[in-house]
Amino acid sequence: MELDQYARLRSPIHTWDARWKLIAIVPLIFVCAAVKHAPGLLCAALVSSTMVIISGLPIRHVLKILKGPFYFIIIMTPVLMLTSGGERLISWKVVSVYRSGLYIAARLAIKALSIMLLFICLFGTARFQESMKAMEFFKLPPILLSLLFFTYRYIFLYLEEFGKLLTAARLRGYTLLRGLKGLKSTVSILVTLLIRSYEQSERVYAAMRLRGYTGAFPTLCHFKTQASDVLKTSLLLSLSVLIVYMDVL
Amino acid sequence: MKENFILTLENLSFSYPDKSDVLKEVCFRISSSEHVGLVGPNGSGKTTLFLLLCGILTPQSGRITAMGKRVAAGRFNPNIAYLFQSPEDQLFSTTLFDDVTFGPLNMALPQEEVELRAARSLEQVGCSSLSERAPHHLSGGEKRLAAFATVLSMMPDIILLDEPTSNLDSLNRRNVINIIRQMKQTLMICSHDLEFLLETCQRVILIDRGRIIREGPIVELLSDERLMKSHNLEKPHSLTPHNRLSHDHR
Repeated sequence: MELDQYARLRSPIHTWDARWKLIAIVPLIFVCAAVKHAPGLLCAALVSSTMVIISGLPIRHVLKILKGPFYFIIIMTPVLMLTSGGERLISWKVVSVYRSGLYIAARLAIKALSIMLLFICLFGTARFQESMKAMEFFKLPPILLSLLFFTYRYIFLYLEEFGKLLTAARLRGYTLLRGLKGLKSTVSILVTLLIRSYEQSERVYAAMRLRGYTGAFPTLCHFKTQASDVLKTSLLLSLSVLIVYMDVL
Repeated sequence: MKENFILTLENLSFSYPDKSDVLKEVCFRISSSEHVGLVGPNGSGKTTLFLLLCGILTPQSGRITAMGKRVAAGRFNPNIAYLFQSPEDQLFSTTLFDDVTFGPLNMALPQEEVELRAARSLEQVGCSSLSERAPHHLSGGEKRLAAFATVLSMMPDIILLDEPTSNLDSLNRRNVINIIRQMKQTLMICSHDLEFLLETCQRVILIDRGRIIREGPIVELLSDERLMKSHNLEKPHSLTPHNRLSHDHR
């Protein structure tokens, strides 16, 4: 799965200049993380879902990306509901479900999903290289950008490599649930992966140097601001202010 | 008439911190547009020699001259390209197009020229339709051809190919052979696939334990069964016609 798999679509979000998109969406992400009350939360969720709908990204693709945060929410919800304390909603023997836990879990879920949807709108509607160039425009440290770039490029490769190592170990009787022995094998698999990735990073760096790498990623993309970019940015920034206002009210 | 040597090595020696004499007093010359094979058993110093030739490693002593200029380690030299053994090391961008344009963009070429070179090199290896694909979504053969395109787009004069047929099926191997045979650049190819070298090179250099053992016309050198055996190599079957015959009569 790639985040920018559908970067070639032609929606109003896709045609938005990546720099202006950053200016508009990053503050909105912070607003989503900061809102505390139901009206603000619902408004944030509404704005982020509307943006995904406008972008025309396939639902299956969006759900695939949301799978990770969704698992996190599924794990966190019962923990919060059962441990937060305060007014009890249901009690059975020693186990109680708390009202505040339910509220915190719902808040967490809405916030996480809204942020993820905005993240998808930001990075899923432009080629990754273009998003990188936009971040470079705002003087983000080149090392940070390189880290982001290589993580994105090689994460799939190492997940695949990890899968292969696990298969090789399983074929020789490895299971995670074999106590200390299983733990030792898991550690050695991870160490092997770490060493391999270190060695590969040296070779990749050599390959990049041979093709003229000096710390920056050259691209053919050129940004051009249009009136519609300014308009879309202003609209989204106004919505961010509105969400903050509704939350404070 | 004075021969036109594009690549010259004089008394090249190299040691790693934990391994001494990986290469010792290596000397050879390669003419322009020549296709030269480099053979030797595992650990004989072939890849190290290539890393020195392209300026990734610095020799302890000796001199490498390419196109009349000394090769300075650590400097960007677009005239010498190196195709890594694993295409995963060569393809580091998020799309194949970005990978192919990476070198030409760093050479500060105009945008039209970059696009033209990218299109040409992708076409040359038959990967034009894959330009927007992510490298990790390509098959092994496609990755190898795509890695070739990243090198070709820089239009180097000297290309060093490290095991270009490893992990390829017969069809993709044949594609690589066809591409190499059409290439006008000076090539040095390191490979254990001796049949492949027979099809693509005119001359071969045999290296073992960091020393040049012998160099000469490829058929002549690879036919020397005693020499090949003494360096853990096998004479290619195509150079032993009776092999096929005895197999048929079995």
